Amino acid sequence: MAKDTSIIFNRRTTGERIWFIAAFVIFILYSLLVIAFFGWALKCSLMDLDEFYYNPVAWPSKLHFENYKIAFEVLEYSNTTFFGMVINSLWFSIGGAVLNVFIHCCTGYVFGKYEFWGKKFMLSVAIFTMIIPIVGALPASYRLICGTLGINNSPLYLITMLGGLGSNLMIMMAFFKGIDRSYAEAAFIDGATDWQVFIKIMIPMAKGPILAIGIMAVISGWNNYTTPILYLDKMPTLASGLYYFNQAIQYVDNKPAYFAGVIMTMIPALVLFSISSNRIMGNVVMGGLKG
Amino acid sequence: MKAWQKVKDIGYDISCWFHNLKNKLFKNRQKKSNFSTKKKSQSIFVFAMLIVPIIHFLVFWVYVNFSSIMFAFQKNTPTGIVFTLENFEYAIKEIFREGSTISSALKNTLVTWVLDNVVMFALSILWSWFIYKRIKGGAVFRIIFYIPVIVSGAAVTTIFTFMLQAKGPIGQLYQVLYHTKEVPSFLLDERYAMKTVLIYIFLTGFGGNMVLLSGAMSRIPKEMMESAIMDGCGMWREIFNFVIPLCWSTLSTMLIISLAALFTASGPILLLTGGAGKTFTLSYWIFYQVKFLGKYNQPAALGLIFTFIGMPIVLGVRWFFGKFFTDLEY
Repeated sequence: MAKDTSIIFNRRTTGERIWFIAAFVIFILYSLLVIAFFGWALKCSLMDLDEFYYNPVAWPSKLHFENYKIAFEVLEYSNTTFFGMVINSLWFSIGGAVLNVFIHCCTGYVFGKYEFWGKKFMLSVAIFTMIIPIVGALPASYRLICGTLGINNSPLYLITMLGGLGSNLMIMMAFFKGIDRSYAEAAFIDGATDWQVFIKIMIPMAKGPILAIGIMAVISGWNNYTTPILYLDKMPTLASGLYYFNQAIQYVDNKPAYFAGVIMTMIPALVLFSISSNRIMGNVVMGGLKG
Repeated sequence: MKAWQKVKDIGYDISCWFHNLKNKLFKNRQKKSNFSTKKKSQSIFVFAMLIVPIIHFLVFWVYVNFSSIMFAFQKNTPTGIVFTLENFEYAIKEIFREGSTISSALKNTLVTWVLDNVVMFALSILWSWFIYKRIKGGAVFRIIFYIPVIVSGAAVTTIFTFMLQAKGPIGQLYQVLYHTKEVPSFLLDERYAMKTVLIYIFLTGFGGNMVLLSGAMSRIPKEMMESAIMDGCGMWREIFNFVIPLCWSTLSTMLIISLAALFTASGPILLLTGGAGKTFTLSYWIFYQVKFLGKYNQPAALGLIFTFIGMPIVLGVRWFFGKFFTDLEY
């Protein structure tokens, strides 16, 4: 990629240079801390059991990759194996993200491109619910999901993610608002219906932000531990499984295998983010909250 | 004959007038029917797109919050449910009772919020600016800073917990620094627990806001910044007079959303301490009561109190932002 020669990125006064050097040093130190933190966990995951108990800080004499295989055999909670937790994490994170992003696309498009009765009111309600600091809705929500609806410990729980009026609405609405009207008008003149315009023209055009918020939603679903602990305690995901293992850590004999499980839990989010960081950074713009 | 001709002409005129009227009416009707069909299909489209979110909102927001208010006024007795103000009495007493779990939870919540949403937010703006200004290695730093945010909190806290143990690197470092074999329990001991949680939040939260901030900064028109720099604008003036105002739409949204979390700020208390060492926060106290003790009424009342305290704060700040600050379009 050609270097940007704009003065924004190249002209710096002496005072600014000192700030940049200071920031660079802090960034390096912080990066080393992060690398050391995860590096230590990676090292522990490759240690021999005896070596780990003797001195977990020491470097392993031999790398034991078999710990990753053992993790699949020994890590189990509530009759769910490690592999079962991977499956639970997959449907929970991907399913939730697909539903959530699709429904926000629908509402974002309608709010961004259509004028209809009650639009201002609905948008104000959406913003109101977004900014109002509801503190104690958990008891009622827990009773509704686990009692009245009975959708806990079931993939049906995903219907709770069909919101559509959350903060992603602002991102999708800002994007659809910015799309030139002429694309839709040309399609309407050619006889396209509203559905065709939405599915065949608008969705492909919104691929960037859809993927960006979709990936963020998958990562956040993958890492979410409170929701599975509350509502999916018999279907633990990897994140909630780690919490349960952590609670019973004194009973986990093979700690290097446990660390292997920890590392495996992190890998999908890391891979997904590293291949899509530019897309995420470049496509997520949040609009204002003026109702 | 002449009179007959006149009658014929009048008759012809009338028939022409009727013909024109018919055409006019018919065309208008056709136009009108085309218009109404389009309008109707558009309305069906809008309705279909919004029906699921509306039902969801009614069930999971309106009903849930209504039930929550009801819970706050209810008490389970052996004879059944009675309506009472006892839950509020209990909550208010506990908030003001020195040394109570709720009063320390409130203090911890506010400290966590300030750290997460004031200190870290300000630092995130600065960090994002350095990366926007293409500091050497910025692309790599951006990814590294974001790693603790994107990997599972359960995984990160597990590693952190192990590191703090006597045999872990931090525990061993402590032994070397303080020439002792006794390592305090950083996550259970009252003297250290909350501080350890705050350090954890500080160390893992740098990248949290960077996605939105980097996105907003990358959209600032280059020409605008170029002319400011050519006019001799320095670093801090550039940040305060250009970057912040030009990103105000995103910043104010983030600030208001973070303010909405004023009384729900928690940090990973569940994973790190489970509330031990006086580390309860308000939202974790509610979570604990519901999940582990099966209590609904007192947590609902406490939540309602803080919702009513938080609501005017958020709405006031939003009004203030709207009144005295302008979102710039570019």
